[in-house]
Amino acid sequence: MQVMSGVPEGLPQGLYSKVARYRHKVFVEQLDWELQTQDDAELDQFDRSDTVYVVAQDDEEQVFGCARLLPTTRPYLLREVFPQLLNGLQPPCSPDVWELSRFAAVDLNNQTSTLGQFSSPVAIKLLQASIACAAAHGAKRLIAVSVVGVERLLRRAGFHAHRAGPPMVIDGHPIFACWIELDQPCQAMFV
Amino acid sequence: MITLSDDSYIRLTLETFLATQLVHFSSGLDEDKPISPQEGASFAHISGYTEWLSTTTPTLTIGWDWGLDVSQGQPLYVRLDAPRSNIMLVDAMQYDLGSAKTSVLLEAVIDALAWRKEVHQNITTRYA
Repeated sequence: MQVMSGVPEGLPQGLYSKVARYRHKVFVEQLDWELQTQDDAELDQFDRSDTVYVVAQDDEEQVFGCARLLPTTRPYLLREVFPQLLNGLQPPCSPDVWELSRFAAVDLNNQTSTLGQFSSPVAIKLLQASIACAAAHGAKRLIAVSVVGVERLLRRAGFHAHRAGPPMVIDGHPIFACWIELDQPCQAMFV
Repeated sequence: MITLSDDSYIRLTLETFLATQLVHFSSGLDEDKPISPQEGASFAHISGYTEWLSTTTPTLTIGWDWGLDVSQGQPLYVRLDAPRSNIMLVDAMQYDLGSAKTSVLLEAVIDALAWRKEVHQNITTRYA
């Protein structure tokens, strides 16, 4: 498994397209999310030139995991689309806070439960890499919108995660906003 | 008094929390988690989670894992592990009790709450 990260221009040629197609397979075809798609690729308005991607590939350079990181000082998913998940609080806007989204660690050649994506060793390694990447960009905390159930899996895996507000059913899916603290115990996992 | 802080935690005393009504939001079965039995208990391989909300504004949210204990003959829903919530309990002077103490107190409240029937009805309906 190899993990790399960067903005679109900094990724190896062709990898950005691979990630978009992988996201289509996972989020649109498997999870049935209603997202913008074109030519079997999934990209939205938050896929910008400054968006940071974390990508896991196997030895044959097939993508089997991805994550998207956005600074909260510019438009991001939670603020623009799901601010109601914050229980009335203003969405964070700080260089210390980055948003984690489009996280998946599903090996399309070896299907497991979609909720298992957060309990597998690959998912944990990908999340650790995402946290390290965000920290390298100055983040002290991550905020994420996710399905209910992810918080428990994050905590079981040893991450310091806690909910930012009550869950809500949106488009038929119960989702919530979750903080992931990049504090000492978490950092120690990938020193 | 219920206070929503910038760190997303809702701060309130235990007394206020005990006086707050909680309503069921959702419950579900674990699909890929192995059971870790507690000492003295025997679990059928059935476990899941449940989520509850307050009717207040701002909203309290609390969820916990449960397992089905069959050691006593009659299946019994039992809370597993610490609850997950946006609650930070405070003392009479409004000082935080801290995450650990808050968790212990929330566990005691959950264990005394009448949640099992609601979860059972929800699970049996959802997975019928």
